[in-house]
Amino acid sequence: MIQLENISRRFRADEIETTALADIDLVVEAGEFLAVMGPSGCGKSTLLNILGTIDRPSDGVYRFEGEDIARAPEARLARLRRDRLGFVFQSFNLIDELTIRENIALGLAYRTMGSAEKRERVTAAMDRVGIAHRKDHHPHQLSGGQQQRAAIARAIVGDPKLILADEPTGNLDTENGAQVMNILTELNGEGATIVMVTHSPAHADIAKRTVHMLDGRILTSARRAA
Amino acid sequence: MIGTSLLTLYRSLTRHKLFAALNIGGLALGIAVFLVLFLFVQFERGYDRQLPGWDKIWLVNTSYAIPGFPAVNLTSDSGLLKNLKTDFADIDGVRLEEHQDTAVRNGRSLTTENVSAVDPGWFRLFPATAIEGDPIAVMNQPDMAVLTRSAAQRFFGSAPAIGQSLIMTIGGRERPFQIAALLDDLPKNMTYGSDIFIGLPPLEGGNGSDGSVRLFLRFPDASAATAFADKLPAFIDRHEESSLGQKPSDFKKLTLTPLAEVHLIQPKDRTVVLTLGLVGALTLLIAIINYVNLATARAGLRAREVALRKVLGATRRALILQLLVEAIAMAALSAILALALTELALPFVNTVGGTSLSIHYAGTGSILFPLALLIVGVGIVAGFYPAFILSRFNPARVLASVRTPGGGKAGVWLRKALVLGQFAIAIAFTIGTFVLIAQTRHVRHSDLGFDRSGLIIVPSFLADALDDAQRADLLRAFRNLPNVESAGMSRFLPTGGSFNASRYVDSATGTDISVTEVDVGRDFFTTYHSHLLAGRFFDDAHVSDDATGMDREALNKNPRNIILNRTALSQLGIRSPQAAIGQIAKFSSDTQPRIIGVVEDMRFTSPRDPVGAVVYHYVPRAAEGMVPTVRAKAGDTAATLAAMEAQWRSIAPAVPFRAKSVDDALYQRFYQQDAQRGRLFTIGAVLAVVIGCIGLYGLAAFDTSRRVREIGIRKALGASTRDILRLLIGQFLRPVLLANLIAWPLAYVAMRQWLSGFDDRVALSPAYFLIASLIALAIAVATVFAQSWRVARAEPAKALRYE
Repeated sequence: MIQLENISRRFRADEIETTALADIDLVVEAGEFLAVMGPSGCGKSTLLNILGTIDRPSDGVYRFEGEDIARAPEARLARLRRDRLGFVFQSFNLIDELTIRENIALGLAYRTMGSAEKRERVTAAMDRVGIAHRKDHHPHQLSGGQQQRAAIARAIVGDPKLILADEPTGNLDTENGAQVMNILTELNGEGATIVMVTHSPAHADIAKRTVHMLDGRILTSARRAA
Repeated sequence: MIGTSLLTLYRSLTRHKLFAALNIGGLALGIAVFLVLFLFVQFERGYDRQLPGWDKIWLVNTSYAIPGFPAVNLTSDSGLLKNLKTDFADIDGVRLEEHQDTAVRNGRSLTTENVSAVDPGWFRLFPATAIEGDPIAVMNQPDMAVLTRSAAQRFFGSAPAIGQSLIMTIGGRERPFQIAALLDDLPKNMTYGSDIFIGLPPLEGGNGSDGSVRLFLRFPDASAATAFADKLPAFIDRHEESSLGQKPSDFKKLTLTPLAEVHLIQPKDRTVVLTLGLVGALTLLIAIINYVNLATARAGLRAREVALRKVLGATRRALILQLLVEAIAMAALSAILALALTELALPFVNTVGGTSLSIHYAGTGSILFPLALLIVGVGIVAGFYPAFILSRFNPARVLASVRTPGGGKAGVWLRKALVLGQFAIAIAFTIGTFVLIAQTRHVRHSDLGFDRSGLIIVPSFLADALDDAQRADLLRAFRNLPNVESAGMSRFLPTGGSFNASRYVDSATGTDISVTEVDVGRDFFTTYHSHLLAGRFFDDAHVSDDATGMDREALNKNPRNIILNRTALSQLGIRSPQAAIGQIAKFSSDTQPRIIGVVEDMRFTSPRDPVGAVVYHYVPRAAEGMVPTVRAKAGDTAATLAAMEAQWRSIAPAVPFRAKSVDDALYQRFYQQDAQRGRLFTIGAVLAVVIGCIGLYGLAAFDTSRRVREIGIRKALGASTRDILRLLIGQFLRPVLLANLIAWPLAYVAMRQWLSGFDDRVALSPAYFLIASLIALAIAVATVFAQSWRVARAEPAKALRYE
């Protein structure tokens, strides 16, 4: 599904250039559940941003389902995100001014689809993560776990092929973290490809494969024993 | 997409109420100022344009090549149309004679009204909506009148007006007029016409120069009018004789002025309309700058939402569109509020500005379409830059960062530049306001060459219905009143009256002198407290002073004594007032008047015009065309007026009494319009400053809240509250201080230009500039102080813990 070849990402601030990713090669197969681990500043989130097309590599080739998108026009990438990708963030990134239902519906805002179908999909997504009873509440009225479940519902409402989760349990307690991991496992079981950045070895163990990063490079890639 | 966007906007506004109030309130205020001044410009520029066929009517302008004679003189000789019809058979024209303050009697009640005497074809060229009767047919019949609905209501209440009679004093004679037709009220911005129309006596030919009517000609188009105007010099030469050895057309000019240009024909009026329009546009610009400033400052707060939308698949174009729609929605909200503010403010504006502005929601001149355009225009202009900035944020960085982006250095510089721009405009407006107020005060209190306090003039002396005996009785009665100090007659009112200009061209010396000749009666100079520079005033003991009943020819044969003003001396080449006494005034070789006195220039004209040369002739007996000026004893003007009216009612009960203080008369004729337009300018300028402060307050609120952590660190490192205050206030004041560099030269050029339109004017003192800048600084300090004080006093530990 995903093929990265010699991907590098450098940031320049004034006179200083920082290399966040250096010559990354990575293949993610459809249906995989990949965990990315490593210390802070090792490039995990940068890698996830490039996979999610919200950041561009400085060098290298990024193929998504066979199409080289490293230098694709912005509009093409926006379409890709809209139709194929779902994002889950550590800090949820729900919009405070909108209710939970409206936040989830935002995942379909840029799609052409009848309002009845949108309503159905939103309801299904809410049911899927068990948040329907809080649909008319605003994010600040919910617990962290509930907010993250709502964020997952927003990520899956468009039925994405790839879900990118950046430390989805980072702001949650153990119980809520476990609930979120259960949902992600179920989604993976239903066919979604998941790439998850995490600091938690326990949660990484749930993934089918784990890559370890350090200083912008992939050190190891290990599959979980069946 | 747009739905969620507007929903987010709505909830954001209700959540961040201060921001919403500042942004919408500021924009609404700006739009309201713009709307009011837009209505003013629309009203002024719309004069006569609602008349069907307005673009086919031209007014004849008659001017003379006399220095000092106005270039614009939109009156004509009453016989001109007849001569034109003789030479140009197909000419289509009508005349209007305006009878101001005509005595109109309805039963026992007596009032004064403006009456329009018009040719039968008037309503063909100036169509009006008839309610009853046929106004065109009525104008063909003598002693019939047409009234507007308002006039009919005034005279007859709800009773039917048709068939009723009014007695009007026209040409010195009381005549009954029967009401034969009723019209809808005429539009307020129509230059010609009144509430009462009567027929004008049939055309009279002749070469007279009575200048008593306005002559309107109709042409199919502008090129026909131009072609006709080209034939007018030859027409003048055929019908006029010259007394100055020139071709008549060299001396007299007939030109055509399009009807729609008449109202703003004076350059000063056009400048006023343009200036007020500019004030409206700049005030709106300040409000838009506020919006841009606050929106870009707050961009960081919305960055996360916008980044998220990008993550969810929104393209940059979609985001720009969404943000523009939001800006247009904000503009629409502001415009609705502005409309309400405008409706509330219009009665006040109309009172202080002397205007009759109103908002029309339907029909021609409806505000809705221009308002919709304004909303979209303001929304796009105000929303474009914030949309551009917000949609450019990198979602990966925004979502990864704990802190919200603020637009970077470029954003900070832009905001400073915008504050600088709006304060430059606001300070320039403030300077303009000070100069305007100073000039308005100056013209009302400056030395006019006479003492204006306690002087009362009685224009009703000009009424045709008064005879000479009544005039003499009235003058005597006024002089005998206990609270009257003195009374003097003159043919030249302080506020106008008959304009008697003479031009002397001495063929021997080539001297070309233009003077205004004024007949004055007994006690004129003492009543006015004129400043005698040399010689003496007129005196009955000197027979040669009396010029009663003498025309120019008679004066040439029997030289009389004259008094000159100071300006006349320079025209005659006499070096000092003392040197003039006893000299023969050599206006030309055929006049021999002897100068017996020189008085200081007395300004009986607009402060805009220079005082010309004046020759005073002595006419001691009250005569037609002369008007008394009465000086009340100190502080007794109102009582004196009441006593004069009582005398008037007893001596001339058939003529309505009209009198007013010279101060009021001068104000109404020469200063009022400037003062009213000045007030509109002041309102706009003050609100522009207020809007600028709203923006500065919002910016200060935003900026200080963003810098809580930085200030905490500074305080932890030893900075005192005063240090922090100095830092924050200093940073906000820097653009305000720099704004002076732009505002001062702008205001200097603009106000010097404006003042140059006045002959009697204040000096453009640096004090106006300094005071305006100090006030702007003080307001700016007051605006940012509260925010800065709150943050500067906060506990540093709290600020750092918060982060």
